[in-house]
Amino acid sequence: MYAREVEGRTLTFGVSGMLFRDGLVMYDRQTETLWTQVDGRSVNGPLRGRQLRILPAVHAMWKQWRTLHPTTRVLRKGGEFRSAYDDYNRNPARLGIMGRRNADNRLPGKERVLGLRVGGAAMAFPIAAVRDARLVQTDVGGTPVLLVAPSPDLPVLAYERRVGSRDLTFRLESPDGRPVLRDVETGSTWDMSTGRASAGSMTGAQLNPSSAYSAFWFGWRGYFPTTGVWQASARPARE
Amino acid sequence: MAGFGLPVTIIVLSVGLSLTAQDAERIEVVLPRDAIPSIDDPAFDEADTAGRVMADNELVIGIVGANEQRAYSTWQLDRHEIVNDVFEGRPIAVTW
Repeated sequence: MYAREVEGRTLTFGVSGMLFRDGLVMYDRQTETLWTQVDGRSVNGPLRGRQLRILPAVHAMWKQWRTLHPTTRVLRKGGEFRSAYDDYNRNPARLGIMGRRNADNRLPGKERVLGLRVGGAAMAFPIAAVRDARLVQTDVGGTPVLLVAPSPDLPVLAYERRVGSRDLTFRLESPDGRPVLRDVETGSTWDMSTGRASAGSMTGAQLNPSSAYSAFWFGWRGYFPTTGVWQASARPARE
Repeated sequence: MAGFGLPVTIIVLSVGLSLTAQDAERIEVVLPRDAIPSIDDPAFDEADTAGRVMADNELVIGIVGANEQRAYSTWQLDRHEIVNDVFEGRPIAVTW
């Protein structure tokens, strides 16, 4: 998800019909510059070299999203009752348009990952492993981040753990049955759905949400070849 | 975009672009421009209305603002790829 304003001009985007590393290429109707959908880079045209500002989005199952945000509004549907790629999504053997191979066996090709990009670095978090861990705290590109998945009813949410110049460490608690994050350093409690401190000395402070991109492993790895992979076993003592 | 890597069978139409050698290696033309139509005038439903046509396991892309939250179904985005929207007064592109 991106801001559509570039250097004071509002752009509207269309589908170019091109792919870059198997990812969609957009064009803007104002300048016909080509932009990558996956990371918002202009790859050709008058605005070449610019970067769209990435807005933090949450990828979630509908039921999870609605549980988290009961007052959400939803893009009106035109009769799409299943994914156009339903069969493809379910078939572990089908990798991409041209029949890609899984170039990196750190994970199975169709493993669902959440991809984070922070400070130019990329990290893939296998969703199943994050759900098992419930709270993941690690660094990506030198920035401390957390992923939290307190229950199967809720989406995995990702935030940076740095507030101002202070790095925070969190615990997942549920004092009244409702999961909250509490930071070890100040004991403040934080609302997971907004990333805002709701009690304690940090009240009102805000964690920056990280955009976590739901992708198949082979697709994420194909686009970001130098990506890391978070492994639960490497961080057994962090929770 | 189905976790990127479009799965549909597509014939490569042409590759005659004015790109640098480096990018030309990597950009493939697979469909005519706008063969997949973006959504430029999005309309929204309340959760109760939407809930009647949404599946529990339907992957959505969500955004949280100061006063509003919006969700965009990727099942719908599979057929449109881009929504040109305005959220809390700010022009945004929801892409998949």
